[in-house]
Amino acid sequence: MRCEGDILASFKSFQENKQNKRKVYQSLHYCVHREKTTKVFRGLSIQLVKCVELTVTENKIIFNRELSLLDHFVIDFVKLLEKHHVNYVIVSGYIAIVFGRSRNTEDVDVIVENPSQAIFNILWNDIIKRYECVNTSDPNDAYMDYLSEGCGIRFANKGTFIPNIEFKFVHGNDDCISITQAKTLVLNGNSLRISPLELQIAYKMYLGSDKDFEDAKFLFDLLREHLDIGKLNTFIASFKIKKTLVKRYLKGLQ
Amino acid sequence: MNIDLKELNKKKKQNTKERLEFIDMYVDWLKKTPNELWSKQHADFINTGFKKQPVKNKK
Repeated sequence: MRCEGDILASFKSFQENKQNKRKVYQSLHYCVHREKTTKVFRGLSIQLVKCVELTVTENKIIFNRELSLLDHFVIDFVKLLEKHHVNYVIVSGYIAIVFGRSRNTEDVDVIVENPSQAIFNILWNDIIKRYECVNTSDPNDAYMDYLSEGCGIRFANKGTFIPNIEFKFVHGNDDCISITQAKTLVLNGNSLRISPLELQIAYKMYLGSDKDFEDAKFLFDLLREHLDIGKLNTFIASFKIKKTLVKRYLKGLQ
Repeated sequence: MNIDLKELNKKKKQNTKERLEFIDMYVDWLKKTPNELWSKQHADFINTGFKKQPVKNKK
């Protein structure tokens, strides 16, 4: 008969074995699929690149992972925009978070191609069935006093304040580029229109808070294999980002 | 209260440096970890921010 100590030792050994197996699996996964190495297979030289698990095509990024409540919040909201054929793009902090940045946010910035007031009113009536506008309860005020003036309104789940969708109309060149050159992110089968990553990195560098620099660095480091470096350099030049900052936060950018 | 601003500035710089180093390590970990593993931790972390708050006064 086993004594308590034996059982404990056995349990510890089982746990250690499990952890070791996980470590071995992770290191194998790392070596075989992710580390940048060159393998020769039947005379062909194959380069295996260390990168996050996603598929990138010209206009689509396909990404599967566990969704957070924030992801569900965003997915549900944009479904309403799509239902009303309203062209939109998601910009700023959520772009970094959706790819795994370890920070939270109180708002998700959504830019919408300016609809007529009639279309906006129809959209509003549908939105407020589920969400609440924290700025105003009058759609005319929202359209005339906020959105048409270049200001945003915020929609949160009813009875809550954060997180919220910061909803804005297209205002300025950067918004135009974001919406016209938007990419489709397919997140677990759900389509989200996101701003070009190159523009987001440059824009974050322009904004210039510690959080923004870190978002830019995160996106650049994580997705550099998938970025159009020429395009990124053009945006960096357009936003007049100092070379010292580029050197510090976007290491390796030529 | 006597605060050594020189020392504080040094600490601030060190903190910035460490935060950037953390991003390097974190990105490296994301790259070598299957999505299902890292995104579980990520989702748990993000979900902690979803607490109900009362709606403030409107216009």
